[in-house]
Amino acid sequence: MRVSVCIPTHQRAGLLARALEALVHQRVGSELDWEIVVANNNCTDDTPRVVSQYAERAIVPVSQVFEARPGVSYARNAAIAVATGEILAFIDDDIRPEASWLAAALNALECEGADLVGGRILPEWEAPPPAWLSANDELYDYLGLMAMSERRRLTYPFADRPRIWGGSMMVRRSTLDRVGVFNVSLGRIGAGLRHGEESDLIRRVLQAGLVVVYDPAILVYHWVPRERMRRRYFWRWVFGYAEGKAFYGGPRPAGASRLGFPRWMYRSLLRQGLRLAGAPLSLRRQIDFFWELGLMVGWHKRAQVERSATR
Amino acid sequence: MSSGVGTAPLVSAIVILYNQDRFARAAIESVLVQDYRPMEVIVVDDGSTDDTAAICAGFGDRITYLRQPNAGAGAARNTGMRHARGALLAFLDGDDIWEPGKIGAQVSAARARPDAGVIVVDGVKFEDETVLAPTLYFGPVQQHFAAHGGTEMITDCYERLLRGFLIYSPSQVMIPREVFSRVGPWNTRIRVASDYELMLRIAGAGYPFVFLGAALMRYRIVASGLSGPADLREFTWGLDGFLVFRAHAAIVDPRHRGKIAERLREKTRSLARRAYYHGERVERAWSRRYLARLTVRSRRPHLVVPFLVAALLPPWVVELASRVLSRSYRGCTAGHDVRGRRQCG
Repeated sequence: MRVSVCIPTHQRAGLLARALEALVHQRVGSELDWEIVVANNNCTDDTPRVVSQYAERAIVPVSQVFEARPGVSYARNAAIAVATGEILAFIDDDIRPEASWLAAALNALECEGADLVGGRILPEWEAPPPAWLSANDELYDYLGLMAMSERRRLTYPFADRPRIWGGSMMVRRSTLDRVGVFNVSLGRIGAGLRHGEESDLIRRVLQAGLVVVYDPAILVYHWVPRERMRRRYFWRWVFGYAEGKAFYGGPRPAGASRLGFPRWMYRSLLRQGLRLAGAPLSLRRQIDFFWELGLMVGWHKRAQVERSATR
Repeated sequence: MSSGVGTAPLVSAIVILYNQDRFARAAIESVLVQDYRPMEVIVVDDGSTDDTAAICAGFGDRITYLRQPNAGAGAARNTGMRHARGALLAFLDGDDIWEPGKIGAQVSAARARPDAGVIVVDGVKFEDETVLAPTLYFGPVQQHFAAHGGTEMITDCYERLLRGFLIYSPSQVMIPREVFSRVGPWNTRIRVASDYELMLRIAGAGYPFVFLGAALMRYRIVASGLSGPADLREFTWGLDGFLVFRAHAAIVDPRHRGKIAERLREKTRSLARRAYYHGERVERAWSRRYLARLTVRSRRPHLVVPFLVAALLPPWVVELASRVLSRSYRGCTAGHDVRGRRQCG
């Protein structure tokens, strides 16, 4: 049985080196057959040199594949295409897995008879986080973090917690053969913050009746740079997530429409706008407002696509 | 803490060096002779311009040597942490020394108290071969061990830390990585007292501290260390204290802010008074410069400017003014003789 660890990367050679360093120091049994696949998503920096350095040093095979189309989903799919493993593990380039990560993920996959597993993602802050951020576990979700310390099975529709993020997950190839790979219309592209590609995949896995497990023993640390400790980042994140959700997910919003949008959308945007006006400094309300705005923009784009398709 | 603390956790020793080639070998060797395993040794050279690099090269692959442009102790420790893979992190400054059992004792304590935020060992102050002080503990920690003995003291110490720092040197501490993932890394904007600021954050997040009674490290007294000349150290630390508390106030729970503001007022008054009298005894030019900096740094000029004015005036004017002031003061408060009261009225 072979395991392929896939890392999509874009212009972050320094962080990638850190991820690879942690990977080559994984504590796994010598009988385990595994490899590392780096999906170079249009990097113009030092990335190829960093990868070849590790390819020389590492005791496991390290390969790289170039993916010109921008987007984390394209990059992950490119890695899946060249990976030779029956089990595929994913981390991002800003993730540093604990030495026990690979063993813990395999263990969860085997022992639970799961098809897809994920785990704890704790922050590694670049600078001391402000109080409004560090004291608020809710905001962890927007940073791609997950601190929950109990093992759980996931269900659809998703509960608030635990969630599994693309920064740390492991899935069987047979599962991907059944439900398909990452949706390329979702997922972070360059500096944009479109999200939801991993939720979309997990939704399909669950809807196929397969088992998805969150296990806190699968531990990684996620680099949180200074710019993600600002409120602006959270607005953009929520907007991007809502836009992706409205564009792709779920059934078409019901209800009578006016000027191209369902009426309830105007109502909830207005309601959140008024609540925000009442307390403009509340991050919670800012987030709620940008959520509604993102839904509206995403829905608008979806309507456009559907119109051009029917024409 | 589930990150491998169950079975012999990996410890990362992070040694920071800045132009300490005289002491670097002793420091690194004191890490390598630790009897605890598994352990990795990360040495961060904070832009030294002396022979530090050559000395580190002598250790070969027994250490991981990292070099960065000079950026300060906090930044160097952060660099070390980014390369560290251990669940427990222990720090050592390049002029200090660990005793052989130091890491083993701290790991045992960390496993006994997985909720602990910091595990501290005691130490001695030394210069060359001479021990200058048998303990680094002071204040409430020293009193505890003096009164109750025992091998360890476990305490929540946020309130105490707000009154003053408790841990003499970062070379005494071991901190689980998960704690950093809650409170963030070392603050790189504070030059000298970055350890104090970090301890405030850890204690403020509710982690208990474990103090071990055994003296398991040696703190080297160097006349021209990072903190400057020894007799002025309290003043240098005093100025940094404002940065510490201001940085802390920016990230702390808002309900602690009133307490912190009160602490800053007290601190400003006491530093201004002490700096003025130190200047009178030793060097007035120094105290003028210091009070000017304190005026700006404290952001409470009304508390400092009177002392600054006094330090700028010729001594006989100050002498005269204080005599006049103290006489009229005496007159007002003596209160018993009729004449005195009339003068005041």
